[in-house]
Amino acid sequence: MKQFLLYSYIAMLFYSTYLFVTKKMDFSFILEDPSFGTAIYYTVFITIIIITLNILLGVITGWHLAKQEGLWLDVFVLLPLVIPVIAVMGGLQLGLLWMDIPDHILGVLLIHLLVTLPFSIQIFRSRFVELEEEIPSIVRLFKGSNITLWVFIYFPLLSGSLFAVILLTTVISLSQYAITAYIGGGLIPTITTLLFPYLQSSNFYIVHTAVFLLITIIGAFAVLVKAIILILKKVVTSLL
Amino acid sequence: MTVLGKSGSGKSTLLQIIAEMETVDSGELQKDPNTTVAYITQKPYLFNHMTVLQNIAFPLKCQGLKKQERYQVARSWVEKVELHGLENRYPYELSGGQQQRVSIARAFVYQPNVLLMDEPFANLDVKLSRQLQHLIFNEMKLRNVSGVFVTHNYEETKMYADQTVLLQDGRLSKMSEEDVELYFNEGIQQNGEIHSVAKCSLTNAMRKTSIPIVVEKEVHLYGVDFYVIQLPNGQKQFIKKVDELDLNDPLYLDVKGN
Amino acid sequence: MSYAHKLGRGIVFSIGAISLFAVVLLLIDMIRLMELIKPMPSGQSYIEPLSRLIWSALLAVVATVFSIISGIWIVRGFYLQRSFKRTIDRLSIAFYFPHLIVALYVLAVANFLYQLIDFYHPLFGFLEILLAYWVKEVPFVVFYLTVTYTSLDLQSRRLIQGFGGSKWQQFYHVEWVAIQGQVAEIFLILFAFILTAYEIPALIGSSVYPLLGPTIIEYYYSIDLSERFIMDVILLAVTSMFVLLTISLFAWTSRLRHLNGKGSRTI
Repeated sequence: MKQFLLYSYIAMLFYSTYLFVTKKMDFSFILEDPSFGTAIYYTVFITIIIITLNILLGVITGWHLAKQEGLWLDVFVLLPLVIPVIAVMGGLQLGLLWMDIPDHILGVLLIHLLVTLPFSIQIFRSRFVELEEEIPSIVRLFKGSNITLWVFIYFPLLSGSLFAVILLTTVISLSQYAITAYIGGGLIPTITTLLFPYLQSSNFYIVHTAVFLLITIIGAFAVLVKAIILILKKVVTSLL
Repeated sequence: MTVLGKSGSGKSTLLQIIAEMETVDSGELQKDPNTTVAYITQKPYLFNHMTVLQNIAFPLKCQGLKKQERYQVARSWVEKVELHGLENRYPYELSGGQQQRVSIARAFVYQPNVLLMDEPFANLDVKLSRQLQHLIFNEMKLRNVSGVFVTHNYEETKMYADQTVLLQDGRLSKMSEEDVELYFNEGIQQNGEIHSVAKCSLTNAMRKTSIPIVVEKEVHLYGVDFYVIQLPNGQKQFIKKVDELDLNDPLYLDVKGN
Repeated sequence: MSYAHKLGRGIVFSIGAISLFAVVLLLIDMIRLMELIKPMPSGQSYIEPLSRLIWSALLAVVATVFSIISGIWIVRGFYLQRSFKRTIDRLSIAFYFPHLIVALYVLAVANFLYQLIDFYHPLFGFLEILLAYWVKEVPFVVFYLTVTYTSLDLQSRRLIQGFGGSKWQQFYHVEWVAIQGQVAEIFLILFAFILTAYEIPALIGSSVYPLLGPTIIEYYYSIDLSERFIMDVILLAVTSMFVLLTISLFAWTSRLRHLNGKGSRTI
């Protein structure tokens, strides 16, 4: 699969280069957009905050859920996934309006968190369930600290899930057009809110360019994150 | 100290409480804070992302030893448990017996005062089990390590225990030799009393305290001759062979023979 | 450790509560609008949005059922053939594609096909949407069921086979018993998502009958307050139904859990 993806991306890269060279592909429609810079800024800002929150909150919650069960607990875990996002969006916008902070970054952050966190929780929870529940007790037996536990034991064992969560969170966050546009009210542009109208266009070259940009961003990000995680793992293992 | 008890009596929980791996619901655990405890159980609980050497050295890392020191100690233990050549393997590449050796090395590497063992040999074949037993108990003697040993095995109890206790209904009670005997063997019932086999003997003479038996066959256990006898209720027992016996005459088991 | 547990618990209840609270706000808005809008929108004006809701629901059910069945089929295929982990890893790549991209790929492939066969029917639009959702959601189903399948005991199937049970009985008594709770969960999640999603219908469905997601956005952006009111009503009805279904699902599986003995529902 990975090879298939790589080959199809390379094919797309060649095609895009061809288009670029023949001047059929033009990035000007994006670059000339006045909110381009702001969009990049907000996208990066939102993505970083959402990733950080997903990791921190996801790990704690996933760890807790791997050990505990309860009727209402399970119900509440599922609720954000089952209540349509659009309904939450509508209510949230009203709430923000009444709190006098409409079209604010906080609203966008909150709704992105609501859309991504349930998945992170599920991913971490299933990973913690696979791991032995005695791990903390064993480390405590050896008189190891909590830092030792998390850095040298849990981090290497969770690195796969960590990558999955970071990538999935980013992809979901970057896919949100409707809710970002509505809650942000146009004052919070992101790459997606900028690109989406072009995706709907009937001009093939514009659509292609927009898709190409999106895929490249996500792909480059995935490679970067994987590299960072691998390097960190190597560092930790060498200290073992 | 060997702890005996029925399945579900709480033996594993007892060890986990001593190791402070489980919390106590009521009461308290009185322990010298300087005591270091090690814990071995059926499942080796090795870390899959670490090599054999890293697994063994890990407790020393938790205690702050420098890398060179702890690997020196770890390597000496790899030799002791006869895993030389496998230092850089990962736990999933090892057999069950090899994994258990790693967990034993890891238990001893940080010089515990107390070693808790929860049926660590239950999943291993007899020969390997014996090898590892010798390894552990020799090291314990060498290093003056106390142990609490949970087992269901008659041999292990007899061979290694200085003291044997029974955990029943949540209470620990000391066991005498005869108690241990009766725990592992059914005992002979006569007139509503239970007698341990140790107190019985084979005779041709019928006495008030005799039970008629039949000798099924002769077997050799640990270099000693035994008979397999069958009692009227269908129970079968080993009993030491007695040369003065005439197998053609009626045979009895005298429960007060000793 | 109990501090961390409390935090974990708190997070779970918070996100659920925020979602619920947002919906309650919708209810308040609806009540507020009832006083503002005079006259109230007639039954006539509900017909159009309701028919879109029904169409979307139909589409969502078909897409969901299709994805679930395919997902189960794939998971079983890999599980029974034991080349499990690697293929799941490969498939999970599709999990990370934004649904926008998937939609556009489907659109591109579809348009190419139409040119090739020189034929197009408006119904094809629905098929495109179905396909886009199917491609996107099957990996999700596979991921969800993988955990359960890896912990299943293959021996039980052989046992039933030994008793003379058919392949269906083997599936039903060993696998279905373990996954039925999760299948119901996935059904709810996917159904809710597909029913109200915006991006895929907006990209593909423009030539087709408008679906619920784009309709909601369209009505919300409208100046006419009565349209907003209608949307509130519909959304509240849909959400209430989902919440009730979720609660009954868990009441049902917790009863099952007692019958099956101890163990997490997801394992």
